[in-house]
Amino acid sequence: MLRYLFREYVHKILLSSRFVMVFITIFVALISLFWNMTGAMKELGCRAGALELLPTFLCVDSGSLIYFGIFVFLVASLPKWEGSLNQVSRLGKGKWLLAQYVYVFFTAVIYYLIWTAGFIMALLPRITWSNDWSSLVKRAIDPETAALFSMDMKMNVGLAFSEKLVSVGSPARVWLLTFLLHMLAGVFVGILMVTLNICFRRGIGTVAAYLIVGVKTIFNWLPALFNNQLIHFEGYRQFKNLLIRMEFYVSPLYQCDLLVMAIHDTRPILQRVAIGAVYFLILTALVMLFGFRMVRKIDLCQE
Amino acid sequence: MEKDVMVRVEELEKRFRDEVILTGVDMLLEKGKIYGLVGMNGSGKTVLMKCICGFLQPTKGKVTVEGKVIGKDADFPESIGLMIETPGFIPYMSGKSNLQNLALIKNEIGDREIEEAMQLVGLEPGLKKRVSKYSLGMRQRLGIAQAIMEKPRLLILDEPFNGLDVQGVEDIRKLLMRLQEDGVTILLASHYDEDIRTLCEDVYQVQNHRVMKKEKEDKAAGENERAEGADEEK
Repeated sequence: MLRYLFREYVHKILLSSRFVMVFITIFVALISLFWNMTGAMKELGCRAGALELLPTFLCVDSGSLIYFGIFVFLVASLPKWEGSLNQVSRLGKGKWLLAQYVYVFFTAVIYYLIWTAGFIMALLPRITWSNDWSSLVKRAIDPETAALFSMDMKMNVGLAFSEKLVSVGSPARVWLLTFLLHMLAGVFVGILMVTLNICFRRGIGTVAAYLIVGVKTIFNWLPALFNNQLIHFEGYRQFKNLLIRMEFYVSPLYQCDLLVMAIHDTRPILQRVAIGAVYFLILTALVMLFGFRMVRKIDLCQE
Repeated sequence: MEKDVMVRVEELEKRFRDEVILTGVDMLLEKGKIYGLVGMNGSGKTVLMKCICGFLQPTKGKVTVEGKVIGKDADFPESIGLMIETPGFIPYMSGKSNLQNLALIKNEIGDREIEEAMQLVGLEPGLKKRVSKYSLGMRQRLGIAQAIMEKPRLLILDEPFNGLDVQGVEDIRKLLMRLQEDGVTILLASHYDEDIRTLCEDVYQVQNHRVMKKEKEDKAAGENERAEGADEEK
């Protein structure tokens, strides 16, 4: 059965037009966004590490939003109902649902690797394969050069270069920790989406997933929303503070922001990553439990 | 007598939200017989078939296949071959590769059984042609091949004659009769009742959300019509 699942994943998802389109879009977008920066890096003799730029991109809110926004679009094609009755009847409902969850997991892993490959391709002429932080990052965090860094580098992309992130460890370590958290967050969001799409109407899961992805950004807009005359009222101010404090609990994606974890250094970084990972695993397990309970009771094809 | 019953549908009702699709459906399919299901487009034939297969949960009533209540004792009938809607074959693989792929799920049959099923529906197992290049009739034959390849005891086919030429219809008819002789219970749906009158021992008609057994006279009339038609052709 595993051979079947692997084949179906490759043929129906990985080689699907949606996946290929996303793959090409990410590559073309990153190459065009970094085009000027690559030229500037050449002029200044800077190089970038192969694994260090994706984590800095994902630590920026807009980067995280783009990353998960496209991921939700990718997973929105699941579950594959059309013409799949023959497979479902052979697999059984439970195994079929498990297969959909496994596909989400594969997608989350491959998707992160695609982004990594995209960053490497975009900066290929100026890439260094060393596992030390590159001259580009050192220049970005050096107080003497930091102020004019974005202008010098002709940067079109928001990247969170920070001493705090560098202090987490080597680029490979930061990449691995970011991979772990983003993969688990992606798996949770994807599995929630697939489960809701199966148990309710197709599209409900997708909307829910976009809400989860958007909550972090919405909370970041809160200060702007509260910037009015009412701010003078104590109750109003407390309400604003309450909402901002709730962000950590309402927005699951907060748990995959490695930079915020490094800045709030009340706990060692690995401990915080472990808490984040367990948090996603528990949420995923709960959603899966719900899915397996529901799948036997619902109509398993669209009408 | 119960041991001869393959499918029993009791007081089945199916609604989608407030819309009643089927109500008060009672059906009994005995082992080793061919049954027909006729009705207009959108009358609920496919919904009934999906309820029997276990894809749709009845709003009321129950479906029992080989003594097991579907949705309670089992998710799906234990030994079922089905062709409902267009099977989702991988377009750039050959017909045989697609069947091999599907066979991997249960891992009960090998290449010999797959080739045998393809030959039975009139497809050449060695054909390297991609499924995307298949004609509608060839795809239909491949769909039937995937339904019969694991030698199921219950076969459910929705519009199996669609897209088939005269020879194709005749081949599939002979195949279904052969399967019946081997003890397979077959439920066929078609909106052309002439197509299945001659083949089926009992015909059920889906009309006004209800399923009624058609009278034997109708079946006999169908046979006469067909015989007259054949005489005229001669």
